[in-house]
Amino acid sequence: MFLKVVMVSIIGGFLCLDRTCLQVMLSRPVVIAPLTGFLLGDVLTGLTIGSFLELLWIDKQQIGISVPPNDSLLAVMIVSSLLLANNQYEQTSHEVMTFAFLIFIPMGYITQKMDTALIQSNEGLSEKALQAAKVADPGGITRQHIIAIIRTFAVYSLFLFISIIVGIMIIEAAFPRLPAFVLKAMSLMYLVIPAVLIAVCLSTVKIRRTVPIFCALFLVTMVIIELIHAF
Amino acid sequence: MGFAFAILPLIQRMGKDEKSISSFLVRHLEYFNTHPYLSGAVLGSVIRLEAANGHHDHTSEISRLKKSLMGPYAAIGDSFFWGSLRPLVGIAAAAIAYQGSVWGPFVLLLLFDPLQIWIRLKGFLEGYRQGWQGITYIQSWNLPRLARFMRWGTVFCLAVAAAWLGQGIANAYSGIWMQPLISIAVLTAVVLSFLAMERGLSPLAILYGMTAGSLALMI
Repeated sequence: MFLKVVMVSIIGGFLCLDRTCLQVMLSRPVVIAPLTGFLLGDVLTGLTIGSFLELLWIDKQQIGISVPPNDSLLAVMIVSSLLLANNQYEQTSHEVMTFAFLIFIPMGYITQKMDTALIQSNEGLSEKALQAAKVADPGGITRQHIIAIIRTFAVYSLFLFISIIVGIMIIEAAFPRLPAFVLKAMSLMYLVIPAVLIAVCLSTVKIRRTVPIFCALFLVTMVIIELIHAF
Repeated sequence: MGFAFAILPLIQRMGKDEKSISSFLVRHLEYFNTHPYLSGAVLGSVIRLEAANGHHDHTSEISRLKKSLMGPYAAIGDSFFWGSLRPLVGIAAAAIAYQGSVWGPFVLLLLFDPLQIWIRLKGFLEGYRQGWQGITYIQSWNLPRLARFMRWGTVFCLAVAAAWLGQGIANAYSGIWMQPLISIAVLTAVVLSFLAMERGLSPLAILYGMTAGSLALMI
C-alpha cells in the first residue's frame, strides 16, 4: 500500500501542475479523479467523487488575486484514500463515498491556503529573475521559472502523500464503526448532494429570472421524459 | 516571469550586446496579467513588434501594447472560458460521470480543449501576422456573445440534469409511479438551495445542514 501511496502522490502532484502550467483541463476533478481511480483499479469511485468535486467550487475561479480551493488535489486525495482504505471490498459503496466526500471537503480550504502561500513565494523568485535580467542572464530567468514548477510539484506531492495516509487512517478507523442510521443518512445524502451541486451551478449563471426559467425548462424536460416513457 | 520565459528564444536575434539583452529582459519582466488562453495573442503581437525593434525603437509601444491588451483580454477570457464554457462542459461531464459513464471526462476534454488550443495557436499566429491589429482576430470570435448563449445552454443542461436525477432516483428506489413526486422534491431542493446561496449561505453550510437533517430523519 505504501508504494501505491507514493505512486499516486507523484503522479497526482504532476497532473495537478496542469492547474498552472498547461491548463488543458487534465487537472479538473472530473478528469483527474477517474484517472486516479484507474491507477488504483476502480474508475467508478473516481467518476462519482470527480463529478461531485467538479461542481462544488465551479463558481470559484482563479481570476486576478482570487485563489479557489484546489479541487484537483482534493480529488486525488479522496479517491486514493477511499480506494486504498477500502481495497478489501470489490466495490466502493455509495455510503463510504459520501462519508469521505463530506468529511474531507473542508480540506479544500487548506489547499487554498497552500496555493496562496505558493503564489506569494513566487514573488521572491520574480525578484531573483529581475536581478538576473539586470545582469543580462537569461539562464537565471529560466532557472527561477523551473524552480517555481519543481517547488509546486514537490509541495503538491508531499501534501498528497501525507493527506492520503491520514485519509486512509480516518476512513479505516471511523467508517466501520458508523451506526446503521448514519449509513442510511449517507445513502440519502448520495442522492441529495447532486441537487445542492445543481444549485451551486445555477448560481454561476448570471441571467435575469434564472429560477423561473430553470423551473420551466425542468418541467418541460420532465414532460418530454414522460412522453418518451408513454410511447 | 512566464511572459519573459516565453519570449526568451527571441534573445538569439539580439547578438551579444549585454545592455540590449538586459533592457529586453527587464522590459518583459514588468507586471503582466491576462487570461492564459489569450496570452498567446499578446505574445504574437509583441514578438512582431520586437522583431521590428531592430529597425526602429518600439520599446514604449511594446509596453503600451501589453498594458492595453492585458485588461480587455483578461475580462473577455475570464467571462468566456471560466465563466461560461467551463461551467457548461463541466456540468455536462459531471452529469455523465455521475451516471457511471467513462465518457464524462472525455466530454470535458473534447468540448473544451480543441477550442482553447485553437484560440491559443491561431491567436498567437494572427498576433504575429498583424502586430497591433492582432486584436481583430480575438474580436472576430465575438466571445461575449458566445458567452451569453452558453449561459442559456448551462441553464438548459442543469434543468435536464435535475430532471434526469429525479427520474434516476424514482427508478432506483420507488418505482416509476412516484416519479412526478420525486422530481418535484428534487426541484424544491435545488430551488431552496439556490435561494439560500443567494442569501449568502455557503454550499458547504447547506450540505452539512442537509446531512444533519438526514441524520435526524434516520435516527
